[in-house]
Amino acid sequence: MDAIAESVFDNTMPHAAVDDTPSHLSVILETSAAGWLAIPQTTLKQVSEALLVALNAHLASNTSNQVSVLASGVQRSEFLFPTPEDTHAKHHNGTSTLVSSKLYSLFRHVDEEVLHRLDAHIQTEGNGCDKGTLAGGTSMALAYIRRCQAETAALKARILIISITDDSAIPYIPVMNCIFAAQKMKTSIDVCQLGPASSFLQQAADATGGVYMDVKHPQGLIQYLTTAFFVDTSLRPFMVLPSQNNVDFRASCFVTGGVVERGYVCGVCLCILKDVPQRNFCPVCGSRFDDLVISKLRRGPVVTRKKKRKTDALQTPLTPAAEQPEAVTDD
Amino acid sequence: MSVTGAAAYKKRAGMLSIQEELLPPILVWKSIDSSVPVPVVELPLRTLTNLQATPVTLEKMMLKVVSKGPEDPETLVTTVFSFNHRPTMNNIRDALQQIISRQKTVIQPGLSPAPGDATQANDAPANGSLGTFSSTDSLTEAKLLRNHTLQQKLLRAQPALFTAFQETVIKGGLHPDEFWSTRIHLLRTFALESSQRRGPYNVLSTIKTVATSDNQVNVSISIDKIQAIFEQYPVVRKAYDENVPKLSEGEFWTRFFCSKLFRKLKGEKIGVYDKGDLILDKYCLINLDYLEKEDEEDEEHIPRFLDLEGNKDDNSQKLGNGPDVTMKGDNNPEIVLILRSMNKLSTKIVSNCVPHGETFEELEKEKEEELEFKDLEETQPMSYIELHVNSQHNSNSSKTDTEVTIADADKVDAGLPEFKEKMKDYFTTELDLTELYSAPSRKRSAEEAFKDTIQMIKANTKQLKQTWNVTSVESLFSGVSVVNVTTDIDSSLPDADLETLRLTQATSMEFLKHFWVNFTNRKGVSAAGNPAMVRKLYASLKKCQERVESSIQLVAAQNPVKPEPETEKSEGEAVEKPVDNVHERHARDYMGSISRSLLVAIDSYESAVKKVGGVL
Repeated sequence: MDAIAESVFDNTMPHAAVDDTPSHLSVILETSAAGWLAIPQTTLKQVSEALLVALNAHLASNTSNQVSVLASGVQRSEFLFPTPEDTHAKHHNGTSTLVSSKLYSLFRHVDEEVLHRLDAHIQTEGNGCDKGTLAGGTSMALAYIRRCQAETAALKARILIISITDDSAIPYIPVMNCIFAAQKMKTSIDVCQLGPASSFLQQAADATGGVYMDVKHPQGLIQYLTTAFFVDTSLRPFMVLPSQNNVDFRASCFVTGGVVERGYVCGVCLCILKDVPQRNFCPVCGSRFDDLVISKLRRGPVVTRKKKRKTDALQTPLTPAAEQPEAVTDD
Repeated sequence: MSVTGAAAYKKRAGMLSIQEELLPPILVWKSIDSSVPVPVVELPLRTLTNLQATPVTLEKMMLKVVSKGPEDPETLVTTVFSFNHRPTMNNIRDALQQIISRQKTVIQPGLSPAPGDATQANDAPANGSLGTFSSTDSLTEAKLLRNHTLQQKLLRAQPALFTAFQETVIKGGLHPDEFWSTRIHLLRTFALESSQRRGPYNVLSTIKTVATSDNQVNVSISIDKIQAIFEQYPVVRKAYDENVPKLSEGEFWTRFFCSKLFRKLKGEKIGVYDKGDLILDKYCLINLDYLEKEDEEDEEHIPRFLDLEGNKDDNSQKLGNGPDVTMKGDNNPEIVLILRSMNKLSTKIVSNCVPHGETFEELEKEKEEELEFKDLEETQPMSYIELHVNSQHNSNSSKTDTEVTIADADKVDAGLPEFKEKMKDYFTTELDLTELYSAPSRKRSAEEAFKDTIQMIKANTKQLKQTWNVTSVESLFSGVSVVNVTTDIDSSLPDADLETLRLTQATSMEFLKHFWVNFTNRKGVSAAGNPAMVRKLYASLKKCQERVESSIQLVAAQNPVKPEPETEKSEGEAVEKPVDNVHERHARDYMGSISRSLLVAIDSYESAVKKVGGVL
């Protein structure tokens, strides 16, 4: 992966003592009700509280710091903050305040906006049971960061994903595309995993120089957000991050979606397959495979002649490639 | 041009002269007075070994010449000449000095190229045997597998590969063909690489003279350089042919590099007072162009094609000597000479580079083909393979996938609608952000979270410790982030032990690779494959397992754990398992993936055998 992407952060020459360049923090909050239901230890409400404090802390640490917040639900991802001027929070229960009026006005503005929009997001959320929209949300965040960076040169940025779902709800390819885009943009992706461990998100954090943490004490989320995930991008080369070092780099099968230990790669479109395709063409790009190659792959393992061979679809580091076979090995 | 001077020998006046033209060249002293019966002193120049002259401060002017005895080369004969004119003596001394130094250096070029020659000579036939890769069929798998010379050379060239070979083939009993079959690409590139030849180049300019501290000048040349010189400069070959039986090989080259001829060919300026070489300098006078003409047997070709698009401006003849720098009258003749010789050399080199077989006729034919009408011929349309990526497929599959997970989680989902309603009520009342830290349960949880984070950082610090100093400094200056730094390994194990583990790992990988290739019958033509081979490889894998275990034990045994209270305390795991050997645990961690891979491979084989009812 490193070979494809540019090296991350090779331009972030850390400044000596004081670094005044503004930083952008983009938070993606998963809102899938089913996901939250599966985590009885904490609620979306509690997490939102912690998140707001973290946002305020980020805004407080530098006057020109920026934040953006996205909600990633089961149907759609949308911006909670910032929002276009005309759809300002006023349209929704204009008068009610969700945070203390004593709060510093900048914080209050952001917090109110986030909470109102989040509320609206939950109210309108339908019953879709597709894969989560996390990849879409990440794309939106990256696009927004790109726009901000066009306006403010030298804006540092990082993305924080507050995730509650595991790999089964994450589309592999779009997430990988997001990872590559983030690498190009030198934006790190931090992952705060409240739900079951996700190897794809681990890969995302590892490839972009971000922090991945499985949160063991969700009630103390604020502590994680303001310490482990609070390290500025420019400081990361100098800090020991609380990230996990043993990242699971296995890819997922394009057809079944399962994690692949040993699989097959299409020589044309490079899609990863767990089993030899039933018909002799690639299920993703439709390229025809050589019948001979496929039949060889279907042969099954070689066992001592006396005891006869058997035909068992054993996964092996081979390829049903029509052109040039390439092996995927994972150790 | 022989050097002469008046000198006294045994107090008798006479003339001392160096006669280089004679064969063998000699140093002669003759008495002036021919009536006196004093024998003529003749010393062959080749026997001279040493020279000693009285210093300038002394009034006496004497020159001591030490030479080898005529019969026995071991005994040294000393001859003393006395002079009454210092410049004369200096003149003769200088000439003799040059001769003696030449004598001495003669030996070295004669000897020193010897080892070089040997390797060159060794290489040549070796290249010959591997060097026939002009046709692609010699690069086929079968031929590469049979070419043992090539394989040996490759092993010699790549120590890492050699270690792998040693471990798996020599010690592990893997068949060499099996080893090479997965490395055909390496053999192929190496074969192509080693059959590369160097084209012609300006040889003389690459010859550098190195002056040593004792006022000697060393030149080292190899056989192929000499051959290149002969090829590029026929005059040198001519000189060589005519002189070498007389002169020794080494002496010829020593003389050559001191001669004006060398400087002229090289394109250097020759000063009037420059010392040259008596024998070789006369070759400067030979018309070099004439000599080269002799070599060219090519007859003149008359081009059959006229370029009609060319106009009178393109006619170089009409421009006269204008464009030719070397033909301008106001040029320094010496520079012109240099330019000419360089031009000549370039032309020669370029003409040698014409691809083999491209004769004048073929060039003409090419032109004829160019004239043929081609525009009416059918053009072959470029064909691309269109790639239709079925992205729909992915989302389809994902849908079924989530359906499955949702079906699994049916029980949990029972409360989902209710939960959703609850969620809708989350943000109706004001949130109290201060509660995050003030509520006792959350406060406690935050403390736990803090401990959790710190523990992870500590664990990471330990792992990074070794690379830390390097990386942080590096990233400071180059901006390389930690992301790109592969945290090599824990510092707790010595390098030698790590190397042991690495070697075991690499060997096991090698066997695994061959096992899978054979087990899944990827290469085999027949459906039956090669069960005997798979069986053998299975046994090897079993052995690999033992090796991995024993290497871990070895590392553990060599690194007995020292009681380190601080690390024990800092690491939670260590406290839990007091008898645990940290090094062994690390070694086990490193070898974890390979042991797992071995297990998977062995299990696959065993289950496959069981399925067909076989016995292991």
